[in-house]
Amino acid sequence: MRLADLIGSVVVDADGDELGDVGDIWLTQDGLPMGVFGAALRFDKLVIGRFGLASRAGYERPNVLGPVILARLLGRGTKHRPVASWPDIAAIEEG
Amino acid sequence: VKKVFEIFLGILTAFGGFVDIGDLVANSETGARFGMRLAWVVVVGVVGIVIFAEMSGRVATMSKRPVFDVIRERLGARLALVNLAASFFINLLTVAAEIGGLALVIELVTGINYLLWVPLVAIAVWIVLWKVRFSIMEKVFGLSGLALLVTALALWRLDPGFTEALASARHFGPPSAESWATYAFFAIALLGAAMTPYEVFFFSSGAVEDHWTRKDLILNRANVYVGFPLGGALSLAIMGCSAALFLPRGVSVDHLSQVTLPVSATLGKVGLVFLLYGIFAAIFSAALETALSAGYTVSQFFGWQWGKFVRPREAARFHVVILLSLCVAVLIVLSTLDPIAVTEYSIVLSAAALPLTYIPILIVANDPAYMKDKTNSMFLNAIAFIFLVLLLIVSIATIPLMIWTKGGA
Repeated sequence: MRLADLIGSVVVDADGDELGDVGDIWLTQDGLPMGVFGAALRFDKLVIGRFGLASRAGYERPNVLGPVILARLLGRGTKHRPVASWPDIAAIEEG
Repeated sequence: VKKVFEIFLGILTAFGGFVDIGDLVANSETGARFGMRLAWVVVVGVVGIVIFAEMSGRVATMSKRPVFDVIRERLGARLALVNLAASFFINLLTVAAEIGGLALVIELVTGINYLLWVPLVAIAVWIVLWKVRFSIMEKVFGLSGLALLVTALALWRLDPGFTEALASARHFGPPSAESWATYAFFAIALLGAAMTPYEVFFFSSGAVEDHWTRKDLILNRANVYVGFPLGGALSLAIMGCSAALFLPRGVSVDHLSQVTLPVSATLGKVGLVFLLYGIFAAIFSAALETALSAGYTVSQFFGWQWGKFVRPREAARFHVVILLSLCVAVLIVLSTLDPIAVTEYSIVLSAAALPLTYIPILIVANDPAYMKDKTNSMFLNAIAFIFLVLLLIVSIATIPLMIWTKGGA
């Protein structure tokens, strides 16, 4: 499976209710060392919701804080979006 | 000792390389029409470019990624393409303005029409870009630009005209012969001249070209915090000369030859030779920087190999963009559009386009994923945010003011 296949797929919770589409995937570079590339990338979280300009600005990540007014403005719509870690995902189905 | 020398050299290079055709034209024109009443805009513009260039130099050094790479990532490919188109077009106008300016300087010296010199000047610029190493190119022309210091000497010799001009700096608003609209328009022109986007493309890409690392951040700071304000002071000297000589006589500046008059009137032939050399070097350096910026922006957007730190054959597309940009710039100047008018439009549009590059850099300079521990301080963010608001207002006001004042006429 490719990571790109996950983008745009519908996320459904345990009760079968739709949470929204996968808008973004966060990776962490802390896996096994891979030669010149450095540490391997590891799947960190799925971000659920549209991936627009405000998301690209990066203010949904908790450590991007300044300038305050810009962070408030652009972070408002994105900061509290649901995220899902790997253990939260029960199954990935095609269709 | 080596480090101190390097810092000193960097400061002098930033100092000598600050002024270009846009600064020469904008400062001379406003000096003649408004005295020093718009001097405060140069100060604001210098603070602005200091903040902007320091951030972009730091982003490039810490993330090893130059401005347009970052812009594409932050804005997404489609919006960044619009941004690239606008930035590239304005930069192209600036290349044309610098080439035209160089040709005009040679016309002043030889008396032969500038149009004849245009292709030759462009070829000279291209050869330097193709052959000369980045660090040498940057230093030789930047340092030669220091010959412009004769304008400061001329200003001092122009007293008492200068004392009167200086007194006008205390007045906010236009003199009786000018309207508020033209006052605002020339304020935008001065801001655009001080804060031209290519300076940032060049400066940040230069940080990668020079292989800057975290240890070189002090060099970044010294260049912008000391070198740029000194360059700004030189801009003010040019404005002061024009204010002292032309304003009392009601002369307006619309040719490059007039820019040289205050120096030749006070310091004679020797002064004039120094000045012409300084103008030529400063504009030549800007022509190199703008032509490189054309290559930088496009290559960085499309992810091509760029830069002079590799052989031309390894960055073929980068060099093709530079060559084509120079060709188009030559055609623009050969169309007999007045190079001074091209310059005016390029700086005013530069001011309008500033938020396109400023906003992504400001956001990334706050992102620890790129910057690690070198994110913006709260103090810097406060000033940077005020500038963001100012640049947005300027951006909205520019085109209406341009139409309203008929380009500041």
